[in-house]
Amino acid sequence: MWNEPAMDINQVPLSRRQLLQRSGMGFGSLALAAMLEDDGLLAASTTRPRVDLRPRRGHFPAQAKSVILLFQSGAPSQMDLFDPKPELQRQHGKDVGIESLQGRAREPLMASPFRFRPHGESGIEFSELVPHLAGVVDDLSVIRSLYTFDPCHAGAPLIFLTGKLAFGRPTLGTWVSYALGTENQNLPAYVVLHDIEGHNTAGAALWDNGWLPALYRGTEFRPKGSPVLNLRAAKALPAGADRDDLQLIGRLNQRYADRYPRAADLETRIRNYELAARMQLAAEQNLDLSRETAETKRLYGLENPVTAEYGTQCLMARRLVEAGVRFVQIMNKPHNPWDHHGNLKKRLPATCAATDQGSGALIADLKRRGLLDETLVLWVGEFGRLPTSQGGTGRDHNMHAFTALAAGGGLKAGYVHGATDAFGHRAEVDAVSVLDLLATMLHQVGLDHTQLTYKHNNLDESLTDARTTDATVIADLLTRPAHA
Amino acid sequence: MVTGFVDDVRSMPIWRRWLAPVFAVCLAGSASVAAAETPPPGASTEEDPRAFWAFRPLVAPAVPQLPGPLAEQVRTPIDAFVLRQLAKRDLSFSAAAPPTRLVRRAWFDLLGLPPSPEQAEAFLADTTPQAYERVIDRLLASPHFGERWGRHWLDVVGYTDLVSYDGDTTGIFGFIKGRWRYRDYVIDAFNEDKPYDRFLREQIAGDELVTWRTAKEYTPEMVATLAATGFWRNAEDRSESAKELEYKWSFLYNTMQTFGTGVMGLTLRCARCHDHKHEPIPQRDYFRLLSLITPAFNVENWKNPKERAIPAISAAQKKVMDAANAAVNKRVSDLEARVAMVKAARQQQLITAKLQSVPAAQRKALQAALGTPDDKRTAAQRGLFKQFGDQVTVKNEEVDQALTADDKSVIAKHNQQVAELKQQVQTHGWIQAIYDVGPPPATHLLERGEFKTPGEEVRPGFIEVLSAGPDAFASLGRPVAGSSGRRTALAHWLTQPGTPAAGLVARVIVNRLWQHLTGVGIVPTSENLGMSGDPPTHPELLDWLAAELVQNGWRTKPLIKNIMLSATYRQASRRENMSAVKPDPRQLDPENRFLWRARLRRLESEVIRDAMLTASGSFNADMGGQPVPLKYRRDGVASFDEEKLSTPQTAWRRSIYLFQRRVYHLTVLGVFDQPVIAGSVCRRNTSAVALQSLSMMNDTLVLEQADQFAGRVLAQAGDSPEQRIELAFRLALSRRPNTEELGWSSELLRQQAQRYQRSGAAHADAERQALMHLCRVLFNSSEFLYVE
Repeated sequence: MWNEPAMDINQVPLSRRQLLQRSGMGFGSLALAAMLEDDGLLAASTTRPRVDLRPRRGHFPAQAKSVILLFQSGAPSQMDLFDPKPELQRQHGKDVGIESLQGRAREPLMASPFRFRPHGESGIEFSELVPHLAGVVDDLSVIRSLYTFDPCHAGAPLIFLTGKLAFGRPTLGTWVSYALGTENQNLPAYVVLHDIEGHNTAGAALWDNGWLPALYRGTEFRPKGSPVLNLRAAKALPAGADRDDLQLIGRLNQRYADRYPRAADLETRIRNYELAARMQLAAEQNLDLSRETAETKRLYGLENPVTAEYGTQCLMARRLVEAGVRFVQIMNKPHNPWDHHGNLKKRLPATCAATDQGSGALIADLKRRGLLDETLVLWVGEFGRLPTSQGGTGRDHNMHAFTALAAGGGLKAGYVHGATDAFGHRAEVDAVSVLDLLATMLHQVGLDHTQLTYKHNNLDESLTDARTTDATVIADLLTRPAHA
Repeated sequence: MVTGFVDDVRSMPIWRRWLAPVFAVCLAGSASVAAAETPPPGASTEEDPRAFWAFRPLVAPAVPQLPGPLAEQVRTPIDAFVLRQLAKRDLSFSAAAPPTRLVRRAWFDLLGLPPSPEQAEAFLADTTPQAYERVIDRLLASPHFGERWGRHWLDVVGYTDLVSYDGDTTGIFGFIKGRWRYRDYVIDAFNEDKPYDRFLREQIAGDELVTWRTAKEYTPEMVATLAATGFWRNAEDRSESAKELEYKWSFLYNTMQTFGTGVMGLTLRCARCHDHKHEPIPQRDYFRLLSLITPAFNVENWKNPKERAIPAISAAQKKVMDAANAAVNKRVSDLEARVAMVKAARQQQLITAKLQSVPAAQRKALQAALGTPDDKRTAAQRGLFKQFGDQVTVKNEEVDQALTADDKSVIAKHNQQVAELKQQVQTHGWIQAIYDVGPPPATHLLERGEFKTPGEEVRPGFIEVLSAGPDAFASLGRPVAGSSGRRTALAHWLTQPGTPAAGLVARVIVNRLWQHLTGVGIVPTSENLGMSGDPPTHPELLDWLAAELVQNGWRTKPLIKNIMLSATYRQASRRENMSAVKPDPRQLDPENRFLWRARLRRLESEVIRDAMLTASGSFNADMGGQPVPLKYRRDGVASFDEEKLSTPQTAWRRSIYLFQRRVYHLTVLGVFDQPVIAGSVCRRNTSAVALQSLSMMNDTLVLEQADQFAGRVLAQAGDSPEQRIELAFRLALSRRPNTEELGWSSELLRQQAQRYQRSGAAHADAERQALMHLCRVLFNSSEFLYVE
C-alpha cells in the first residue's frame, strides 16, 4: 500500500488546462482533434507525470489498439484443457518423482479424465471441456510453455499484473493507458469488469495505479446492477438538477485550481467531474446490452443462467473496446473458480461450462466485426496445475508450466508456442515467463517495455524491470518482425 | 503479503533477483543516497554499518546560527534547520498562511475535523500574539485529538476488528470480541500524551508489566495495559479454521513485518530467508528477534485467536462471578421446574378426561403407551397410538386454557422472579491480549526462511548492529512472574535513551509526526529509514526532533506543538506572483522537498466523512466501545446496518469507530483510499479518480448529509438566500463566500427551487431542496477535500 509520498501536488509544471488554453475545450473536442502527441513523452528522461487521457502514439506502430485481458483466477489445469500429454495418460498412477507443494507427501501421476481431439485447420488439440474455445482455435496463439514465479493465489496475480510480488505497483492496464491514453474520452481508459464478491486481499492491487497518476487506475465497472458504482444518485432528483450542480462545482473547482495553477490533482478532479458526467451517459449507452440482437445474446450465452454471468462480462468487454476503451480487464467470478484441488472431474467441467462459451463468443464476435485485428485478447490464469494427483481427485498448484491463449493484435493464429515436458509439469521448449508475455503485450500495442519507464524513488521503474529480469518479447509469436 | 511457501525454484535462477519487492526499492535507495542533496555525515557505512546515520545513537545537533535577515524569520529552532537548507538553494519561506487557512489546517491536523464557524472566527478575532498558541493548546487537549492521531497509529499496526482472512464480502470470519479495547487504548494513549517509550512498552509487553495472573481485581489501567498487547494481534491469523503449520508461520512472518516496518522503520522481512542484502541485518538476527515473541506465539503450542482472549476481569473476580451466576441459574431452573410442575398437573387431568372417550378395553394399554417415550414403544403401542393418538393428545394451548386463576398467579409470580433473576446474571468483556503460553520454545534459524528446514538453534537477541554487542540480551532479558520477560527486554532495548536502537525508534516516530503535519516525512519513505529507504532531506533536523522527543520524556504532544509553532509549518501553501520571484522556486525545487511553502494535502477518507458530519451538524461525538456495525452486499457495497444500530445517530459516529475489516470498507471511504489492511500502512494513498466524483455526487451518505446540512442551515441562518449561502460556506469551508461565489450560489438556489416547484413541490420544500443542492455542491468542491 505504500505509495509515492503525498507529493507536493503543486509541482506539475504543465497542466492539461494550460495545454488546452482553457477556452471550453472538453474531452469531446479533444477526441475530435485527435491530438496525437509526438514529443517523446515515453522517453526515459521524462519525469513529469502526464494527467490526461488523450490518445497518443507509442514507440512504434501498434498492432493492437485495445487489449482485453480475460483473467482466469484460480489456475486452470493445462493438462486437462490445452496441453494433451499421452505419456501422462500411460503412466497414470506412477510416482515419477514430482514433488508436492508445501511439504505434502508425494503423489502419483493422474491421467486427465478428459478426451482431447484436434480442432480446426490447425489441428490443435483441445479437450472436450472447451468446445467454444476449440471452435476459434484457428484464431489463437496457444502458449503452452508459460511459467511464473510464485505458486500462491495471492502473489502470482500480482506478479502477472504488476511485474513483481509487491503491492503498490502500477498494473499492466495502467502502464498501457498512461502511455497511450484512450480513444473515447467519455469512458475511462482502463476498465475492470469484476464482481467484487469474494476477491482476495490483493483485490484492487490488481488494477492499481501504484505511483503512476490516479487517472490511469482501473475503473471498476460491475457486471451486475448498475455498471458503475454510484453512477446515479441514491435518491431521485429532478431531471437537470445535476447539470446545475455540476456547473457550480466546475466553477468553484476551477477557481480553486486557479489558486494552485500547477496542481495536477486539482486538474484531474475537474476532469473527473466532466468524465463522470459523460460516463453517466456513455456507460449506460455503451453497456446497454438490450440493444444487442437475440443472435448475439445467444452467442454469448446470455439466455442460459449457467453462462450468462461470464458471457455478460465478455459482451461488455466487446462493447467497451468497440467504444474505444484502451484496456479491459475481466476478473472472473472469485473464489478462484479454477482452483480444483479436489473433485476435478466434476468441478472443472462446471467452470468450463460457465466460461467457455463467453470466451469463444468474444473472439468469434470480434472477428466477424473486424475488431479482432486491432484487439489483443489474452486468456490466462496465474499459474498452472500439477500432473500429479492431490488426494486422488484434484491437482495442486504448479508455477512451472501453464497455458495461455492469445488472439488478435498481430499475433500468429492457429499456432502453438513452446512445449512442456512429457507430463506437463515444466515448460521445457521455448519457455516463456509471464514477464516475457507482458513485454510482448506491450510490444503489440506499440510500446517498448525497456523504454516505458517512470521515475519513482529516483529509479526508472518499468513494468517488466528487464534489466534484472531479462524479460524479452517473444518474437516467434508475432506475425511481423519485432521492433528492436 | 507473505505467502509462506515457494516450491522448488532452482530451475528459475533469476527469480531471486527480482521476486523480493524490496529489490527495486533497494536500488532506488542506493541511487538516491548517491544523489542526496546533503550526504549524511560519516557515511562511510561500508566499513562500519554502525556509522549509518539512522543507526547512530542520538546526539542533538547544534541549532544553526543564521545571519541577520534569515534569523528574523526564525520562530523555533526547527526554522533554523529548514531555512539553512533553503538558503543553500537560494530559496526562502513563503509568507505566513492567512489566518482563515491556518486555523483550518490546525483543526484538521490535530483533530481531523473542521473548526466550527464560531471557533474559526474567534481565532480571527483574537489579535493577541498568543492567539495561535492558545488554539493549539486547546486542540491538543481535545479528546478528538486522540481519535485523529490514534488513527495514524492504527494504520501503522494494521488494526482490524477481525483477525482472520477477509476475502468474502458477506462472510465475516474471525471476528473476536473485544478487539476494540486495543483501538480505545491507542486513542486514550494519545489523549493522555502517554510517553512513546511507555506506549511501546505496554504494547510490546503489557502483560509483563502488570500482575494480571495473580491480581485480585483488575483496575482499568490493568485492563488497558493488557489490551495494549493487542498490538501483536493484527496480522492475519487463520489458525481457528486452518490448522496447518504454515498458517502459524505465516502469521509470525507478517507480525515481524509489521513490527519491523511500524516500530523500527526497517524491512526486516528480507532477513527471513537470507542475510539482508541491503541492510546490515544477518538472517540470524531475524530469528533471534523472532525468538522474543515465540514464547507467546509457540507454533508447537499454538492458541487460536479465540483461545488467546482473556476475560476483562481477574481470575478471582471471575470465580466470584461464576459462583454468583451459578447460584442465580440454579434458582432460575428451580422456578422453571415449578412452573412446569403446575402445567404438568393440569395436563395430566386433561389426558385422564380425554381417555374416557377411548373404549375401556384399550384405555389402560393406551395410558401405558402414552407414558412410554416415542422410540421405546412396541409395535402394538404404536398401533394404538395411531388409532387414538389424536383423541388423547393435549396441546399446550389446552393446558393454558385449563389453568386455574391460582395456577396463573403462581406461574406469573415465578416467571416474574425468573425475569428478575436473569437480569442478575453478570457478564464480562474480553481482552484480546497476548502472553507467554508456556516456557520459551527453542527457536531455530530457518534455512531459506522455510519452516520445513530448521537450521541451527539461535539464542534470543536483538539486531546486532543496533546493540551494544552480541550479548545485549543477556543484560536485559530476565523472567518476570510467570513470563519469560523476553518482550519486556525487547521494549527496553528499543527505548533505552542513548542507544542506537532507541535513536532509530525515535527517528522513526518523529519522522511520522513530521509527515502527518507537513505531508511528507523528512525521510519520505516513512516505513523505511534503513539504507534502502530514502535519505532524509533534513538529517540534522530529524536528529534534533528525535533528541527533543527523548529529552521531553518521549512526549509527543509538546513536539507536535513545537512543529506547529514553527514558521515552517505556518507558511502559506501558495505564493502570489510566483513568476515575479527570482529565481523561481518552482525551478529550483519543483517538488518542494525543502519546504519553501506548505503543501496542499488531500484529506484522508475518514476525515472527509467526519468533516461532512461536522458541517451538517449530525456529528455524534460518542467515543469508544463496540464498533458500529456495517452490512455488506454481495457486490461489496457496504452501508450501515440499521437493524443493529442502537440508535440512528450511531451511524453518525466518527469513522474510526466503524467496523474495521481488511478489505471491505464503507463504500465512500474505500473510494477515497481507505487502505486494504495487509500489513503496516505508514502512508495513505491520495488518488483522484472519477469514482470519487460520482460518489460525492450520488452516494447515500453524501445526499443524506447534504440534506441534514440544508436543514441545519435553514434552522440557523436568516431567511434570505444570502444569509443561508453564507452560513453554508462558513460551515463547510470555514470562510465566507466572495461576491462572485455568492452570485453563483444564489443562481443555483433559484434554479433548483424553480425546478422543484415545477415538479410540484411546495415553496418551502423547494427552498429546502435547493439548499440541499448547494450543500451537495460544497461537499463536492475541491476546497472541501483539501487542506491548504
